[in-house]
Amino acid sequence: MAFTIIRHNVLNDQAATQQTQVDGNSLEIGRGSGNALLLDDLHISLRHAVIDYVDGRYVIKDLDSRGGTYVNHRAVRMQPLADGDVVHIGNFNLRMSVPTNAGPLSIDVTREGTEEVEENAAPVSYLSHYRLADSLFTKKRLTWWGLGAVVGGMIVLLLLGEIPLGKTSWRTSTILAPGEVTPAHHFIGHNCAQCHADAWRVPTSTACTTCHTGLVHQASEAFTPDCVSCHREHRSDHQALTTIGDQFCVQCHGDLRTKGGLAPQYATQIRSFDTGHPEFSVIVAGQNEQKSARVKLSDKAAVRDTSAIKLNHQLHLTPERIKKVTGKTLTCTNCHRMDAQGAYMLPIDYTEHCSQCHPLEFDERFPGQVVDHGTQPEGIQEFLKNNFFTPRCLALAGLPQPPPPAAGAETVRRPGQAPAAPSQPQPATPEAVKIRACVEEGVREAQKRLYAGGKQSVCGLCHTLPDLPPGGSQLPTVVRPEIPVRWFTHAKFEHQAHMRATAAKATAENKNPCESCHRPDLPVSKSTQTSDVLLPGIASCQECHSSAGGVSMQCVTCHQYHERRVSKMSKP
Amino acid sequence: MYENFLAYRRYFWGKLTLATTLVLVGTYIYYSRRVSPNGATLVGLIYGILSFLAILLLMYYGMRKRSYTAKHWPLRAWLSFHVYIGTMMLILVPLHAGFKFGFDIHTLAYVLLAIVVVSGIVGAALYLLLPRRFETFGEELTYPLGHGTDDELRKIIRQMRALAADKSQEFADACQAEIEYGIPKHHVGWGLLWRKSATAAAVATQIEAFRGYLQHIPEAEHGAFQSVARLATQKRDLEHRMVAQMRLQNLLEAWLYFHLPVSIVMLVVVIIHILVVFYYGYVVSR
Repeated sequence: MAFTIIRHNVLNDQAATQQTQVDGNSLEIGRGSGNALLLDDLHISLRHAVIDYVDGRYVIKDLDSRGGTYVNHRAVRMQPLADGDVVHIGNFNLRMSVPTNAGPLSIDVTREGTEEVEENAAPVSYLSHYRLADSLFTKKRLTWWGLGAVVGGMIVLLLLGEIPLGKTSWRTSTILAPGEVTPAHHFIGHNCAQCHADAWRVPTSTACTTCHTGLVHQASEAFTPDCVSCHREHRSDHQALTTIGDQFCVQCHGDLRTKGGLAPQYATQIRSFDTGHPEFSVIVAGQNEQKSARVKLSDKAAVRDTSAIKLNHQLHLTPERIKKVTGKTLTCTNCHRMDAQGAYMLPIDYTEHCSQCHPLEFDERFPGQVVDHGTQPEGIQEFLKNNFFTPRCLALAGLPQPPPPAAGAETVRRPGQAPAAPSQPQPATPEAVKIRACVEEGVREAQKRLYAGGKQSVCGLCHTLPDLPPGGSQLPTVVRPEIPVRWFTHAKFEHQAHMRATAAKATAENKNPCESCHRPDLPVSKSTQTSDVLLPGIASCQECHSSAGGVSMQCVTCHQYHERRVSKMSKP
Repeated sequence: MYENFLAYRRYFWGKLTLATTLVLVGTYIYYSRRVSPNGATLVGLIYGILSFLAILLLMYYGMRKRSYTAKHWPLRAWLSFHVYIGTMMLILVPLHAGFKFGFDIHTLAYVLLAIVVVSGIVGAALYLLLPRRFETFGEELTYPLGHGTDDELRKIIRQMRALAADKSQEFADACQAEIEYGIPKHHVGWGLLWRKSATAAAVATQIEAFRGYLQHIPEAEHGAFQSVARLATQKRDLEHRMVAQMRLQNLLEAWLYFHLPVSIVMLVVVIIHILVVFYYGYVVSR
């Protein structure tokens, strides 16, 4: 009988099948070179097993090997082979093809784990086992795991929606939010729906106007932008909500149109404070029944202060002249004082700013006695009569003083109130006639001193009084002056901040710091007319607030989009 | 590769990066006095676009490195650019964000970027410092290790097998044990990073133990066993040096296993960041 051994080799990377014919009735299997079927594996015994042809059957017999011989995974001492049996010896599998007639036994030899038997090749590449890539952690796997963890984690978090954290909870959708909510809106907490009525969309203006009411800009604006188009929330920055960039304003004011197609009133192409911004303008009250009008500061002929008061700034600010009269000098801040916020100037007040030098004395015989500022001449007349001249004339005539007025009765007439009727009719005695003449004489002299002679009179020094016929029967009416407190009603300004910037420079140049702005072409100390408007023009501001000057020139530095007078913020 | 890539063209990229950083920081300080800085401002947006373009160029290096036919700039220029501009990203991105961070994907993108940059700095430092240590291994060792070492080991093993053929079971067992000893287990590469390589003395002790087997070997095979022991000495020495070298090689490469995967994850997160920000900032706001 005979055996056919089929081996699979790899030679020069090419699979090759090698068939060997072994004659005889017995096939020896083992590691030793004397075996007909040599299996090169150090686990296999030198003489491991033998296949004999006995009585027309092939029988495998184990030769007390160390590793043992297995047929179809069962250890055997001796076993007849059937067609298709697989014998396992060491790492080798021997597949038996038993012939139906008396042919040779065909043995297909394969090595465990591989199809080919690499007899002469080393089993492993030692080097590659030490490489980092020869592990679970290849770069490709790490990349996929990382992507899975990050993207998957994100999806899982977003699906969870809300994660409780003790007392509070964490809205997972905030991982997509551009940033933290402004502290002003912290009270809303995590109640996203308060603003985001439609999840995943930014709020409409309705969400804002629930609390912020009366927000208007200009009645004639061509369209009203959404709140969120200027106010950006979720920026981890509490200033971001109110820091409005110029681009939002320039969007319209760069090429201004109005509703109804009317031509814009002032400027149509304002791109920034130093490009296209019109000269400042102020409202000037009309003269001679004319309507008040908005006039640009550059229109020097039309700009005039129409306050019914006479003031010569130059006179007050010339040290030699003022010192001669008062013994001290004046500066701007003696009269113009800032409010507590350091923003605007407080109104000028007679009692506080003028009375010290300009007392309203009426008669040298009453030194230190003054009439009340703010009372019209009729009231003053009564005041003089009752408080000074009647008692004086009575005293001169040696008569008793009239009883003091009843408790609670008004002694000083308020503006608009009718003059008090004499408490008791006086009998027209010759004595009374004399006293009345004395009183009227005194009052007339006082009124002459107060009102007559234009600038020479006490009141006429500052107030414009009509020329009255001599005799004193007709009293003048003093026009109440409307001294403007804020000229630029639509712009914000802070004097304090600007003083800091100009003071150092002005002190160094020994100049009045106020005059570095008010007004270089007509310094306050040279202004002699009340009608002089001493406001700085845009050019003065642009010295610093411009691209060249380098100081901020954002629209919102001075302007407010919303009309403050009607905007309201209701706290929840 | 062995030229100091930091000094390429007299530190051209270093100087350019320093100048760019100063300009960007200066611009940031100038504008942050006027505008509250964040990524949505004009300057923030410009910084963001610059950052994204820089990330794309930095990641292109990974492709350029593998392309031997590309003509634009030599690879050393790309590497120099990659290292300097990559480090600059640590500053550029916070400038873009106005130094505002939170618990969100935007900050996650920066954290991932920071991991990539720091691992890159570690890698650059290793490339500059470690190769000098190879000199101590003698001139026959070169880096990177070729397949010569493998071939040599296989040759020794083949000779041991040849000697073991036809020998007694004891002889064969000893040979098999010795052959199997050298076969590294899987995934040992990462273990090498913190494993100390065996000393020459330890190797000598192991060989002594192997020679101690002689008493179990039949008298007739003693000569052959001495030959096997000699081969085992060679084999262990070779393995010992191979492990030491692979350990260094792995130290040089380990950072890349963070650098590359995290950079790709970072790019994906950056793209999500851009999509989310533009979706909320521009699409939804309109």
